Amino acid sequence: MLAYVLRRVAIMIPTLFLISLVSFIIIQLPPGDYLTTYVARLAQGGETVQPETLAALEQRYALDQPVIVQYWKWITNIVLHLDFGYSFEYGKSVSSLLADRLPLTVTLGVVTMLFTWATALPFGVYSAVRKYSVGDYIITGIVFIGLGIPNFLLALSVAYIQLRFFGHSVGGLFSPEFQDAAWNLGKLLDLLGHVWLPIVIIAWGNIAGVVRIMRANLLDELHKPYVVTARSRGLNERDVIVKYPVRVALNPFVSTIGWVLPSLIAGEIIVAKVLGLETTGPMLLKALQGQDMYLAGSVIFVLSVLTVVGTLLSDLLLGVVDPRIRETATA
Amino acid sequence: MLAEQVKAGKLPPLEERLPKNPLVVEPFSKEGVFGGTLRTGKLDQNNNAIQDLATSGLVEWTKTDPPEPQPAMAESFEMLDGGKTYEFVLREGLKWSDGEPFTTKDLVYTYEKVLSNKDLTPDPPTWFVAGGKPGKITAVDDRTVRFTFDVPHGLLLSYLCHPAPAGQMWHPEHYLKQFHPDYIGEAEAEKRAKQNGFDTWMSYYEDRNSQWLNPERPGLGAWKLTEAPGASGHASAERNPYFWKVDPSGRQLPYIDKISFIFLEEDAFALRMANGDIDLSISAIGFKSVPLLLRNAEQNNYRVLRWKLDGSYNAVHVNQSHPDPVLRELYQNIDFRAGLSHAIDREEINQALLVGEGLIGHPCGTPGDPYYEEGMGMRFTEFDTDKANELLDAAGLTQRDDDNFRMRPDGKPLVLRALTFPSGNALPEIDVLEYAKRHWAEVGINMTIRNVSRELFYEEQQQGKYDLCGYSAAGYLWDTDPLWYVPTSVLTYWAPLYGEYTASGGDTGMKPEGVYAEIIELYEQLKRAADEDERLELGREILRKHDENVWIIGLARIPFSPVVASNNLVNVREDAVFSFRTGLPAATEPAQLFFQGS
Repeated sequence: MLAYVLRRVAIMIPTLFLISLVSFIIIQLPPGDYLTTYVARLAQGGETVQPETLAALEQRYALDQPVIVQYWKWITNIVLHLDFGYSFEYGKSVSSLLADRLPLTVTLGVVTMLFTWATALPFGVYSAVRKYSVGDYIITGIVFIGLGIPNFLLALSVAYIQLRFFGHSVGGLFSPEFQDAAWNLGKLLDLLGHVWLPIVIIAWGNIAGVVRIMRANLLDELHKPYVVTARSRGLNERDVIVKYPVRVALNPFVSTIGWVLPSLIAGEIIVAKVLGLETTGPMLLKALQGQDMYLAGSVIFVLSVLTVVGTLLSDLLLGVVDPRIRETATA
Repeated sequence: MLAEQVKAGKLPPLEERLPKNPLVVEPFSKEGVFGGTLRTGKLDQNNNAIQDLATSGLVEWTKTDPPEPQPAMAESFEMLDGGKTYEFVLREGLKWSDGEPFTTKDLVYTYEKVLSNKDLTPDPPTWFVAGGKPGKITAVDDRTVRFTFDVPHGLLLSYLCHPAPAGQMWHPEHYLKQFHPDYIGEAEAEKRAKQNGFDTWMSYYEDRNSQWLNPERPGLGAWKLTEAPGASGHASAERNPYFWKVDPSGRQLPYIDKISFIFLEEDAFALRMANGDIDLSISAIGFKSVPLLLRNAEQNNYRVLRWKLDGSYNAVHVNQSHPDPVLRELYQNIDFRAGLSHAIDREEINQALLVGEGLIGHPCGTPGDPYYEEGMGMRFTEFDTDKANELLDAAGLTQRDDDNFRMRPDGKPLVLRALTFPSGNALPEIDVLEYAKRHWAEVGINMTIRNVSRELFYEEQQQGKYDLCGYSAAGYLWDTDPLWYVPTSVLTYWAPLYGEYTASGGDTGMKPEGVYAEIIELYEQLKRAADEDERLELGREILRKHDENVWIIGLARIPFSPVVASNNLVNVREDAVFSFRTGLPAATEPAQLFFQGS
């Protein structure tokens, strides 16, 4: 088992190296560089940049060097000093930007994921066991709305309804009156009053997928002989379903945990933008638009690390939940 | 708020904090009461939002339209030597927000260690250059300072009044020297930068000098930053206890204690405003949110003010410096541009997009601008297809292709490529251009629209190869931002290569001739004109050339710039000009705003 894990980790390193190299190059492929963005922003504010200043900035940011040299400098600093470089756009180090935004991002992501599964799995089981019942149709109907409407539009609509009928302030995580306040019960309640919206909106679209997969998987399992056997031994219906077919039907979710981690970091960019949440998603988008390459490259690098680690984790977890896989692996 | 701190011994009493003769600000309607938090915001947290609220210039604009330079931190100023020298006398006892004195030493520091430092300032800023050479700043004594230039600098006061750069124009020596290699050595400066996650000492120095990113930097404005923008999507500022303006009763401004900034995407921001969660918003909203804001105004206790326009045109810049000689000759032909203009049904655009409330005209200054003359920018604006066809024929576009589109004089197909991007000014560019495309097809002109992201737009724009550019133009106080009307930069959208030629001193770009060279020369004279009447006349002459030539064709113009203000907020100007060059909110002197009943 240990050898297996070590082997997997060893493969990860070249994979990460390749991902980071390719993504760094792709970020720089569009014409122009960060200075174009810089000129654009100043122009918007009515300022112009003299050619000499541009040349000096190019040198300062090492933009005049070949991409591969820039990459080498960046990646060695990450490996040796855990230094992710400097974001031109924000005028801060990438590490501090990530440190600033990752806690909120990860919290929001984990809560969203738990909420998704906590609602979707029971719904999925219910609509499989009670196939074609009224409840099945209602659940399917609701989740398809979430799947069908782009979730940023949902976010905007819900935000407007909140404003129109409840006078609730929209966007961000706090109402204006709590923005500056120290932490207290009121502020916590205010946070909860805001944070449910992005969670529900982001989860809604995901719930649909999970419900449908769960339903389909379970329908496959429900009529297999082992279920019939369990029933014939007199187990009650609840135990039959939860202990056997549901466990088998969970496999696809466990094997996709690897994808959940990156979607926590970069997922739902537009929803976060619309609702004014300062997560890493909108930051990545802005960095890509502005060719703020160290920031964009670093976010993608972190994402890739999470993806490969997540994949490994889900492979290990699969072994834990499914004895069949565990047996084959050790055999 | 401050009285308690004085009592607790944390702050010296008011008399010691104010200069000997503080600047007395006449409130717009009445003297106020202290307290409260001003809730405002921006769309992008990377844009300095405090600079327009907490301005601090040696001189500042009067709050009139058009504005005049008036004494501010300098109690008096004088032009000497025919405009080659300016002398400023600072108020006695001015202090930074940390209580350290602000003297001519800080100005000289800024000149010697920042403006003359090639690493920090590779190229001197425009305001500091006259006749192609940077000026000098010398201290006569603690309070008297002289700016000297080789040639007269007619625009120096206008540049110094510009509120945006003024907030961090002068560097606090006592604070910033700990980051400057001249004081601590190059190696140490680099080391400190690296330790704090910056790649060069210049980046670190700039970060430390930023009034928007560094709450520790002492400032001179009415408020100073207390929380920098970050992951919270929020920033805040509080009153500067050493601010140098008072009301007529001698009470220290500002009236409002704190500012709270939020950063949201435009739609969410508009919803917040509609909910009455924003006390003052000057700049964050596009025109499209106006109906939503008006509908909720009464119920949520705010008002939508109609500020006068600066630019806010939807216009088409016709590329006068096109690299293709045949096209260049065509675009430089007044008949061609007049034909294009006559073919536009402006009334239709106005009715469809602005319920008939919009304004009509070409960018040519704007009413209220000191250079503007009544009736400018109205040539060729009537919708007349016959006349348009006649003029286009006269411009040599007589041959037609199989689709009945006009061909170039040399018989090749003619397709006008219009480059544009969603700028967020005025109406969405693409909406208006789609009308123009249809109107021009009626007279046989084939146009394609290339609507790209902002970054791509500037990348392509700088090459100067497009035929048309769909963008706005400035109108108000354009003399300190001349690129709109004078080819001084590659960003002169109607003549990018001529502009590049001027900016690079002839190294790159295309040499302007004729009338183009003429207006560049006029502007050169304007910059050196120390006499105001002479300067105004030169600027008017430049606008007259625009009036005659219509290099920028106006298609539509929004009727006003929306500004949202809470009903509790008093002393907001009802109809100032919405201009970046008067600092947006700075035009209503934020220090004298106050909350009724707070």
